Amino acid sequence: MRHIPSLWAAIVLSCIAALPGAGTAEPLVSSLHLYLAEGFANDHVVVEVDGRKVLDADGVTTKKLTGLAMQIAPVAVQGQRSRVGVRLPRKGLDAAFEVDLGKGSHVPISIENGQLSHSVHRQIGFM
Amino acid sequence: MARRIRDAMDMHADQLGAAELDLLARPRTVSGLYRGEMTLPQPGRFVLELRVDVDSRSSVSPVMNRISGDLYQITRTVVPGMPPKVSQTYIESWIVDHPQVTWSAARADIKGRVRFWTGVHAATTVAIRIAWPGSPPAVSAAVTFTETGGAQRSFSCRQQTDCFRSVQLEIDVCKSVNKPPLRPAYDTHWHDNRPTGLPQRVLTIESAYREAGVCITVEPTSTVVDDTAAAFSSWSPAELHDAMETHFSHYGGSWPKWQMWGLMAGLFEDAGVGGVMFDAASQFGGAGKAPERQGFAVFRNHPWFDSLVPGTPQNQAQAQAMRHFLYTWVHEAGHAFNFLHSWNKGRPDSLSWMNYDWRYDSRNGADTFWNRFPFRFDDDELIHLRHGNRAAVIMGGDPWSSGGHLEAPNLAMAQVEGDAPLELIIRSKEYFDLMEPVLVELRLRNLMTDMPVVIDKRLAPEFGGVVVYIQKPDGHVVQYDPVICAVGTPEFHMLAPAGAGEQGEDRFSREIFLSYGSSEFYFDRPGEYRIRAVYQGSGDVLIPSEAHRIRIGIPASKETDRLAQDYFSDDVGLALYLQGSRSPFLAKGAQVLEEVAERCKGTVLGAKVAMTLAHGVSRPFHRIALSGDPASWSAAERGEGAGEVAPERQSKIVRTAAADPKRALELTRPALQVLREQKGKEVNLALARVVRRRAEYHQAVGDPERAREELGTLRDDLAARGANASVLKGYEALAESIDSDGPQRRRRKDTDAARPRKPRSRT
Repeated sequence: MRHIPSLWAAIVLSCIAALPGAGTAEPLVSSLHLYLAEGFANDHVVVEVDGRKVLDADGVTTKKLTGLAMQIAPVAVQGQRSRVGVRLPRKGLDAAFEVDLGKGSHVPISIENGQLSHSVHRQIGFM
Repeated sequence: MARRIRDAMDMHADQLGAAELDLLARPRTVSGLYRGEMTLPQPGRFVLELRVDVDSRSSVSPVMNRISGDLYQITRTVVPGMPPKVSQTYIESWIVDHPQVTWSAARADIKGRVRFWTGVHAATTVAIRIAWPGSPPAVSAAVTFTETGGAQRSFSCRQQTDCFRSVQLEIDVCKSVNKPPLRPAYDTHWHDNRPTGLPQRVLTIESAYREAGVCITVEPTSTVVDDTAAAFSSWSPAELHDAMETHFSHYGGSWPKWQMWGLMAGLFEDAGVGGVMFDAASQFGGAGKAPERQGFAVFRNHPWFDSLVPGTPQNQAQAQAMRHFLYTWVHEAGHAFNFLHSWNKGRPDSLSWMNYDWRYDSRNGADTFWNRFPFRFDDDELIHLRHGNRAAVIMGGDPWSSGGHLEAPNLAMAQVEGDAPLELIIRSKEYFDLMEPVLVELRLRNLMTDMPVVIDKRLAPEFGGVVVYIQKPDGHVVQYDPVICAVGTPEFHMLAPAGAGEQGEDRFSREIFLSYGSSEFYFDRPGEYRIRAVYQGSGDVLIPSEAHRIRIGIPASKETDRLAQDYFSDDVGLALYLQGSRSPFLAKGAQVLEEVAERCKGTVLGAKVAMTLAHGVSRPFHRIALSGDPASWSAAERGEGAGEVAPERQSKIVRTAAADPKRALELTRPALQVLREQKGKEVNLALARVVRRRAEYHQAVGDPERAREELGTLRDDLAARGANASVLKGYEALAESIDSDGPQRRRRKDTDAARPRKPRSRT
């Protein structure tokens, strides 16, 4: 790269950065959509994304009409993979998982059979 | 000749296969809705709506092999010179699971054991003969119910439609999303990801439900709801309910009914929600206003519908958007029919309109839901939709997600349809403190404009003409069982025709006490209760009320909670029921009531309890007592002699407590103040009661001037609260009558205090 004039270098780098998934100087930014879905009942829930706390809420309860307890505001994440941590301190539940954003950016998190579970989808909705 | 052929066919019908039978003059389907009147034992007295589900209605409508029905009682009000006015009162529903069906060339015979959804019934079987004489065939059903012991009821019914139920859907649309397509129409082959062999057809809300067995009629016109206010961005359940109250043209009138409202809106407050049936209890995420299941919304700005276009889609994204549009409309209407989500019913792998595609996929693999989904409800849902208990299915019936109807007594779900001669309503305040005596007002009103109606004024359940049902917070429904059963001559009263005569002369109200009945407190737990009453008038007229909802609060303090433990006992219940009886047997109960009155002074609870105690002390109390020393009594006096006439002294009545009207006035002073401070018509009767009683106490202590003054103030208070002229006149007359000679003194020589003026209800 050092043999390329700096202006051309900047142009080439910006083009590469625009390619999906390309290794770039400006990392890819996307939105991660997290939902607290089934199984929550007046719970204290802490959610972290890539080490950053994005939710610390008490009284989280699933609404039976929609199967949704809470929709977390979209989280801006860098790169193709994100690490999500979910804790329910009062219930002693703790889970961490990686999301491959290439497979989807919508992640419903539920409590099923006393365990935290999640899935990854390109688009979801509640109704 | 044709008849002989048919008879011959009948003889061999059992040996014929279904395909051969189809070649005969059998109608396309015998399944569907039938309706007809009772033929025996009371011709025309009842009507049966019968749902037969034993053969295929179409290739995409599965047979559930069930029979079910709803029973109605018919009331015909005859007005001279006019055609009779007919109303029907819903009585109950029943179902036959897996009936035995025998086909022959000209008829189908169906038999089975009847399972009633509510109440206690003798074991009952039903035999139905469906015949299709004529061309085109007129399909009819002769239905006979037989109880253990042989009692029979017969009905003659005609097929009305091949749908099992019919519903009207009104769809309104918000201005911000008022662009086509406003309703879904999806060709099942538009999207490539579909089941192999899926029948191709265009599905709409109507056709999807028609396949399920319900005829939905979408009203042709829509209201445009202006949602363009600058600060408004998304809808909450409460706002959606408010919009429904404003825009749903069928919102008024009595519920439940087969009417549903759908709104196409922009966004929900949780943007991930594509649609919501908002009309449910708040703990489920709904608006929390009864009756429930009347309306739902679909949110056009959900990303699901980004690619939605009218007409034929040009790509898979557009097809998917229309598929989701249909899916959301059908799903939300499904909630209004009282469906839960599939996983809430233990069927997470169900291929149903009520499942979520992504939840199914997360269990079964990516894209599997749409690859397998046949665009239908699952079997259990179809059985509910077609044959479920009416109250559990009809909009505005049982609360969403409830099953309280399952153990309801007979008539608990009675509902009137058509031109009923009378209306019965229940009124009270909406919130009661725990332990606060629950009294509600029953009001009968003449609905006929052209003739008066005679009613029996004895509306207290003790007289048997009114039955009251109470649904407790756990959904369990019980019938109010009074401590006393009263027998007496009917107190007839004529209600003027609606709108005629003085305002208010077309109605009659009475307050009834429901807190305690035969060995049971009915409102002993905090939570929501629903109360219904059914009035049985002369001529066997059945008039049910709407469900009236009240809430019992949680104890205000630990001290009140502790007090509640003593309060909810039979001693207290009886003391309350007997209005502060001073019987020594109920002394413990009275003591608790005094403690409550003292500790809760200044509250409605304290006021009402004090009124009860005041009523007791205002009257002398007499006991039947044996005179002299019991040790000296003879065997006859002790009731041990056989055939001897007991001496007179054995049945002597003695006064054990004198009336104390002064104390009664002291006790009711806070009650008067508290009730005057309460706003709303629902306390009118209670306020009037305390003032009437105080007027009696004032007269008993020799202060008629004060009695008249309080009655005058009551008259003014009631006028300010919007009471009718006839009521105000009544109190004016009562106050005037005190001038010369108080009404109590006219009735009784005993000046200790007043008794209630008439053997009326417990007010």
